[in-house]
Amino acid sequence: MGYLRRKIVFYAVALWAAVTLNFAIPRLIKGNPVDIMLARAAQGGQPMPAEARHALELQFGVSDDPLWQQYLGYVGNLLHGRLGLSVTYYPTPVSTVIAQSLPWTLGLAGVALLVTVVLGLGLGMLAGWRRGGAVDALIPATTFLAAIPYFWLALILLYVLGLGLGWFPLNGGYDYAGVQMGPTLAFAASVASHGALPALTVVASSVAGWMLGMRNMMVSTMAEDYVVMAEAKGLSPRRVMLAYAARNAVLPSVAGFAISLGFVVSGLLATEVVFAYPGIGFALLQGVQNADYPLMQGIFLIISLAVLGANLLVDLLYGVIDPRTRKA
Amino acid sequence: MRRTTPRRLPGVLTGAMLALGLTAACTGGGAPPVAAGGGATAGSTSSAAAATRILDVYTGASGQNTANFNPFTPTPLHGVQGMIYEPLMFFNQAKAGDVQPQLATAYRFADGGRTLTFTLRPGVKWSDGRPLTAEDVAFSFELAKKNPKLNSGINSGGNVMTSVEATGATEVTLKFKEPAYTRLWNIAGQSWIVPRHIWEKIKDPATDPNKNPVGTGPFVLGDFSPQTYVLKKNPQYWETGKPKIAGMRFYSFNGGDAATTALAAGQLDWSGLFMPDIDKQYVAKDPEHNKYKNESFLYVTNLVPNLKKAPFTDVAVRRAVNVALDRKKIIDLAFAGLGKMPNPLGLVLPQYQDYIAPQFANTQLEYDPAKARQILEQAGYQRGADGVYAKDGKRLSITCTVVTGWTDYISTMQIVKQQLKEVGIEFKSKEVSFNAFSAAQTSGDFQMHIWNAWGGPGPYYMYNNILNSANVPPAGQNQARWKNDVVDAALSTIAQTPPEDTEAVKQAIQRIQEQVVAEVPYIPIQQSSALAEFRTLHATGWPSEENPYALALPFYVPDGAIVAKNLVPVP
Repeated sequence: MGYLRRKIVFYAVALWAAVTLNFAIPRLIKGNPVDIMLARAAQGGQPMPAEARHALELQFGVSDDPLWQQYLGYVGNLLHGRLGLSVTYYPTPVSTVIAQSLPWTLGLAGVALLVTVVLGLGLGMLAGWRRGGAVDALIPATTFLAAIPYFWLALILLYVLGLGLGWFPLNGGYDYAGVQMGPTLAFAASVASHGALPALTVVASSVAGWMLGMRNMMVSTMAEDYVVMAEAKGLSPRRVMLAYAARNAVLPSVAGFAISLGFVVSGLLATEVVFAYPGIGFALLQGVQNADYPLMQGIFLIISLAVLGANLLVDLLYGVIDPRTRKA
Repeated sequence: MRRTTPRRLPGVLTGAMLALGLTAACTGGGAPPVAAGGGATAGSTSSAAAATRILDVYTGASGQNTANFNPFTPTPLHGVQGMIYEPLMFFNQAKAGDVQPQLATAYRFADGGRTLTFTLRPGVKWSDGRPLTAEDVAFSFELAKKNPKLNSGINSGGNVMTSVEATGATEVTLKFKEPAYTRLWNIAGQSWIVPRHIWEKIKDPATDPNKNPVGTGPFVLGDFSPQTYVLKKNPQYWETGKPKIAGMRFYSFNGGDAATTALAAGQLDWSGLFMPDIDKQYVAKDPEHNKYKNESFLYVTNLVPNLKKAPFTDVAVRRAVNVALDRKKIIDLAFAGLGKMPNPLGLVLPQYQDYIAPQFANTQLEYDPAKARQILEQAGYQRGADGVYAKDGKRLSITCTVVTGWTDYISTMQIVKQQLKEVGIEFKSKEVSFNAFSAAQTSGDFQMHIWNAWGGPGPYYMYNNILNSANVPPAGQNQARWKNDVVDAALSTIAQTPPEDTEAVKQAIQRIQEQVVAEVPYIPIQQSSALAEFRTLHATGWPSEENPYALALPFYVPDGAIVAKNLVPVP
């Protein structure tokens, strides 16, 4: 139980630090929402009258209060579950903005991560098991894909597979004009077909890291005495590979997986930009571009909670799969 | 990423408004004619299936949509202003002096511009079937006047409106502390009329999303989702037989690239994207249907010197830079040849040709490096060993701020750097984020930057925006921070002059031109290139050079709505 208590105290402190950083970081970014909105208006062809500045300051609650007062107000609102009104999408509450975009990101990034990890670990295991074999030969090809800047890879695939060959839809989360959002088969099929190409690009560009890491761990694990022992006992190669070598080789990847879970929530910004995917990464970018403190804080908070939660889960899981850590 | 939209598309703040005031240009004297009046109209009489087709539109929206149909908020959904809620009159910026009646059929000023009376169109109905009344109109203005959060200077007529009253069944009278001639554009053209019977029950009109909008406009809300929404035809619309199309679907893309791809693939009927190579990227994909219009008289891209900072406190430096630039080369290389040549008066031409002072009728911007050097030498600058001019031990070095990622501006910087180097001026460009850029604009913490100046329906607006000392930031767009008493006096004269007195307005405009030419407060680079792309496959009747009945830009309000209600579906 001591292990569990230590962990929970640690995560509580980490959560407080994260919440405080959420407050501080947006305020270090230059610019304020009123300046930005007026500059946009002026540049969009419709400069506002002089009175507009005052009206906007009132609407967005631009505050000259001392920082500690703003901080207390922020923490107080958080405890009550109030995230405030978004400036970018004024007067929509931040919670609505997050609720509208988070499911898309969870779906796309979650599926892409699962496919990547299962594929990467599986191929890595095989590549390590049979060094120099057919699977091992895939490594240069996948690392080449990983070396291409993701943005460019995505644009090329979109151009070739989407615009050129017409195999995939060009943009969006589903067929906006043809399908109504709802629990129907048509909607699900549309979501799947629109998510396929973005997911494919994510998998293609990130599978190499998992594969390479797993392969190398496999190689070093296979030199361990217990693997040699297992082989000497005459266990089937399959059993040795899965239960003796791979099970130990996968441990570092489990920690990596926990960190990656954070990206699932924070969104795949480049993917969302290229494919006009309605996810949370783009909502965060919008928030940053508009000095939208409430929105940024809300999204950062969700990300922090997700990363901390995932890490806590993995820490606890680690205690189960690797008994050594419980003693530490 | 190639920047395609953010600067020209209004991004966040489409809906909101404009500058102050109106000049003679807009009216040509007195009230505009009464248009074909119309009571409630017959429903659609169109027959073919084409009439049920929803057109696909991209107005520059990015990210998700949130259900905000409140026309008074800074960022309502595109189409709310104009398509659902209408103004009293339409000021056509595509054609000088063109003012069209909408909910009002006429207006008249009295009492030296302190009283403004609108005559309302009879028989207009809200989309819930109730009639539009003079009380509705008075209530709409009162709403903004009473609520400081909504008092953006537009609906309220600024802080100078003293009262608004329904003075008859179809008559509304507004009273002002000072002449309101130049505010007519805001009041009649950019203020949205809402139904009193609904809005008087709304607790906080500044934050209410108004989820079930009821307006008088040609379209009503169809369906909405965070990814896309439809505004469909209002069968009760007052203008008989309009709109002819069934509706418009609004899309959102997370950047110009995705939007450009969709446009090239024929997915969009209408957009306002900037594309450097529009003939190849768009027209060539379907030359028969893919058309575009270049709205080339809307804004002027300027190098903006900060007149409060050295070396721009010295007019000789401004004049030298002004003659050292080969603008043709800049337009060809940085603006894909789409921009037009600007002029030294800071007016958009040919739109306001009539306002040019006789002595400047043939004045062009010069390109003469030798003259630039001569101006500097006469002002006491000496060329140093490094080829850069200096005075009192200070090298003539300029740092120009530009928003990162705005590629046409960044290319401009490189060309300007070369051209000024030849003259003997060191020019450096500094790329900063839009946020930092806008903060510096407000604080004045820059030496020079590159930025667009916009006007309105009349030459007064751009001059007032960028030259009036009352509009020095944070108040307005006088980014050069110029203060000139002659100019201020002339602008104030226009504000006091009835627009019918075109001669007096012209003379005041011309007095400003003399000061602009002599003092060079801004250094113009190009006259606008705002592109509107539209496909004639599913609809025709788009604005053209021959019939510029509104700006063809879908994000411009209320022009987008005027275009939408005049489109004709292709059978």
